[in-house]
Amino acid sequence: MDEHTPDFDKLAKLANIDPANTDGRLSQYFDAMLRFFDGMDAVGRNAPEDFDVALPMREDTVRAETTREELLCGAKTVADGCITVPLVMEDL
Amino acid sequence: MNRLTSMTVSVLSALLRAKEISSVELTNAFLHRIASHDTEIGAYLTVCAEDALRTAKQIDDRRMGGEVLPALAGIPMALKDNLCTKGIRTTCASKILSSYIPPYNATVYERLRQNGAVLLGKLNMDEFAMGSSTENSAYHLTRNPHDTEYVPGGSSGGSAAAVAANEAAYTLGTDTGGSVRLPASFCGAVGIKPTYGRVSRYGLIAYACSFDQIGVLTKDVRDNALVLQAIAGKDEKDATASLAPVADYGAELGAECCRLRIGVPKEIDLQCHSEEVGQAFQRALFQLEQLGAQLVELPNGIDQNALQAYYILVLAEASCNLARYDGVRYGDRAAHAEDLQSMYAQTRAEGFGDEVKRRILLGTYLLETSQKQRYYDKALCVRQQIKQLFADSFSVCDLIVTPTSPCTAYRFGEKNTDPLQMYHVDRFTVPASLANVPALSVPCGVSAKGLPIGLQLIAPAFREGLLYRIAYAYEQECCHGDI
Repeated sequence: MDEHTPDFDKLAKLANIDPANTDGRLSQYFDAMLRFFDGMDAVGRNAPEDFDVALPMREDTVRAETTREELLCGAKTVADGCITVPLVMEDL
Repeated sequence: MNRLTSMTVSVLSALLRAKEISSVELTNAFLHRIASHDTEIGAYLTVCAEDALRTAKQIDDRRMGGEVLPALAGIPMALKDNLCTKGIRTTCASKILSSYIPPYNATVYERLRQNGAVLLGKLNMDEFAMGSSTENSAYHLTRNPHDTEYVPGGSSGGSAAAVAANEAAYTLGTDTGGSVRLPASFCGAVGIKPTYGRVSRYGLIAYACSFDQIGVLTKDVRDNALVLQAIAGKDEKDATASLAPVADYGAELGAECCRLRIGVPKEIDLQCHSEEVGQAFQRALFQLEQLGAQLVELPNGIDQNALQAYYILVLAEASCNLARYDGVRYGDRAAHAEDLQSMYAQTRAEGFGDEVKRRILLGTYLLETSQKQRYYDKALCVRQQIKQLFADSFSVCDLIVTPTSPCTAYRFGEKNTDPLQMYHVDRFTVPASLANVPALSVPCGVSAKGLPIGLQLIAPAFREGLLYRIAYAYEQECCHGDI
């Protein structure tokens, strides 16, 4: 298998989604999207190495007080104000 | 009754203050409008008639008691269904959250409540805000009020359609890569995506946290400024909400536009899929010059690789954000799973729609160790380059102008067989999202088929007032506000 060919079984396990239960055109979708993304190469190569991707985060970061009710319902993690930092899946 | 629902917030506010109408009367007018029209339009997922009338009665009682109330008091509005409302179902237009009832309010809703707003209900959207046409809702389609054979845009399609169909005086939507501006353009409304951090995201169900921002959709620019004024500002519950003071947006309306330098990305009109959009854009440029603005060509454009970078980053963030919907913490659980792992997979396979599943799987792939450098890291670099491109552009101009969309609204089903084709509709809106700067869509014309066309104005961070100044002058001069 080519290193850039998606292994859908592995992806399904990582994402907890059965790929058979999608619309059946997953490989065409991946193919089109990855070809589209690869078109980004030209500028990407010239990108600065020390780029800064910091978001406008407040310096005096204050986390919200979580009420017992919210904790019980898990509501804080559905829609709180925090940034979710994407994880590299194999780091898990 | 219908006359009331077609009025702007400013006019309704004046009538309420003068006690020429009551909030109960006004709320009833909107509820009747929804009852008679929404079966065709499909803007609403939930209508809160009893709660709305109860709130309206309370506002009327306070006003009759001599209390001086804020401008938005007693005015009926509606929220996109990814904004949490305590005790009111909040689905994100997904089956997986079909029974989710939040135990708290989003900060934006709390602020509108403090201003006396009357909540009519929750509005349809693309599932988890993933889409540009509102065809991805798990519940029903929303139709464009200008022609019901056409999409209203997305993902805040319900929010734009409700304003255009006079089913709410104003609405809130959310904009990740154009989801307020695009439907505003397709439905002839005014829509703003504020600077990232200008409005608290607390209580907004996350799609892509580094992009998501709550925006306002209204009939005209004055109303838009009024509503943003009410919801903007710091919030201790959102660490990304800015402490920067909120300007007086109303003071910008009617201010001088002479000598403002407006940047026009080179050959951007040639990227339009529709000749009518390109022509409307050229006409708008001429009209802006007539207002005294000076046009400046931006030779490097603003969108180099923006669409690719945007989709890589958004999909990566979405795959993480949506990992929490597993049938344990939230949502309806698959009924007949054999073990925990299959319960997760089955719940998510049954609960998410096709577009959401596609995006989660691709986002997961992009974050795999073997792919991260090739896609995700590079997209972060491109994002930084685009931020620099905007910074460079704003050193030679005060604002940037583009069409909001390369096309007008399209027919249902026309683009959803090829997701990539649908993604290209966002090409003019995603650069401002990548740069986290504010952008506004204001109507600038109508196609031969009667479909609205939008003009996008982009300003430096926290300069929403500048957007309102030029958009108001343009609206007054060119009379597109009543599309």
